[in-house]
Amino acid sequence: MSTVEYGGCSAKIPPKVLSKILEHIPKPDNANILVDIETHDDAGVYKLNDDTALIYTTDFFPPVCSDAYEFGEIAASNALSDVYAMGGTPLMALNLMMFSSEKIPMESFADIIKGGQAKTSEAGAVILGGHTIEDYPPKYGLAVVGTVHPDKLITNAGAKPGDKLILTKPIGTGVITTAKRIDMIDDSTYQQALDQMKLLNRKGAELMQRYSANACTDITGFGLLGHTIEMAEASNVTVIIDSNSIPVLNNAEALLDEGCIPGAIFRNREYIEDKVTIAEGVSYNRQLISNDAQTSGGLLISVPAENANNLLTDILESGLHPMANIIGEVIDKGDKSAILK
Amino acid sequence: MIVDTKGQLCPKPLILTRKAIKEAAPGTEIQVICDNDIAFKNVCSYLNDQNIEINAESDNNIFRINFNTSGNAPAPIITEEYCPVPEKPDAGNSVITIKSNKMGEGDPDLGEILIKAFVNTIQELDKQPSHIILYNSGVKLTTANSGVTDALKELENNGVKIVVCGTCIDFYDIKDKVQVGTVSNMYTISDIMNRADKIIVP
Repeated sequence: MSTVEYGGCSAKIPPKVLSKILEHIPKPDNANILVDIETHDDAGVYKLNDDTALIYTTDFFPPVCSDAYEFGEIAASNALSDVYAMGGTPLMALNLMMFSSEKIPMESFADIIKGGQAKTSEAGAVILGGHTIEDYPPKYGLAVVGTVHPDKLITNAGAKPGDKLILTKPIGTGVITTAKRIDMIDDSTYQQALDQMKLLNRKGAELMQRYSANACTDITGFGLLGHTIEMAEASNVTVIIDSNSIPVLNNAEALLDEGCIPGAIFRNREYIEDKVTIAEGVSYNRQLISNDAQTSGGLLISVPAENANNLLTDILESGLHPMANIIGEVIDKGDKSAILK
Repeated sequence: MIVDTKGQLCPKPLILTRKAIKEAAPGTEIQVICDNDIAFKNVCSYLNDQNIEINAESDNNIFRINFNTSGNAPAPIITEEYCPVPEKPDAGNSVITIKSNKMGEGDPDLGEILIKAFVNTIQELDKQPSHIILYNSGVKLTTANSGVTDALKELENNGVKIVVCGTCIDFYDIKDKVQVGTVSNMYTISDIMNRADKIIVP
């Protein structure tokens, strides 16, 4: 963890910069492509036949924690999450590793791989190999292939006015990991964040299929508002987020009060500030935390209102996501893509 | 009031700024000094959010942000275009000074066991020190049979500078036996200590 200034998904290239580059890359034209970069979704999807579509995605980043095994678990959970966010099931994966054999003990290398392996196995997928290059600071992640029935594919482009939005994991991992780096928090606060980052999004993915979710995305480096706005734009709707309903990790807001505000929050906010209306009375901390870069964050599920309470109940009863909550709703497209109230 | 955040990683500069504002009386003039673009931008964003007017200046990658705690801008200062080139912030270095061939007070045999364990453990630390300085009987650790010369050599190979006190090896008459490190003088030693962000004394 001491090897990097920005660990986890906060190490992403600023969204403003990225979209400028990507707009000049020609998009492929093929009838079997169900999802490409157009809608800023979590993964690409390719239809093989009427029964199976492949979900293809990758993610890797520098350490978010000091323990190599836990870093492996978090990086793998995060990479697998993109498959879950599309309603799919992970099938197989490749390790992507950048590691300095000179500067870091090789046991750490082994531990990272083991952590990634454990989470991939838990997801029911297999690692078939991978690729390693010398680099410092280290980075690790997976390239993942998952499958989904083409009719069951859930993208970020299907949210419909009237839907409710459910968030499965609390936010604030960026604040907590930053505070850890400068030694501002106790172990239990940190452990809560680690546990959330290690948690697979499998349960949420399974359950949202059962309740006919219209859209889904996972919350990662661009923060809750960033990914919500991507969903709103892809779906051509406006999303209202109720700031007081957002689940937040313990102590994250107290840390913001102290000024422990990761730079990624300001970067993310810069990207979305023209696209969101902040209602009067939303606390400064809730505005900030909504832009906190998440590593291996939860699923944001857009589900028909009549199913929302049942889906939330099932998610809570799974015991895996005790802080899951309905955090907002979808309305017809207005001036702005999102309203934080 | 001056809040000097040079050498501090984000969000430390912001935390120090926040603390200064909280503790200062209303109307206090505060100047925050940053040495990297990211810290500068983040502190400015935060102060803007608080509706605090600022005057900022930059010179050679040193940024000064002036404001006062009542929220009004202080007397205008030349505001220049900021250099947008992000500079990698200095993570802050630590220096280990080994002042004896024993660690801690008490049984001398135990002290020798402990110092060996300590030196052999340094490599495992998450963050490596920039320098290890050995003086007084600490210099004996650089000789054969000390049990730590291999570890010190490896640290040296990995870029940690091993600095050995010249006066001390003369005094103990082990000049020919030193196997690792660079023999140096008191000025260099005091200069390294003076520049260190953190000094570790086992």
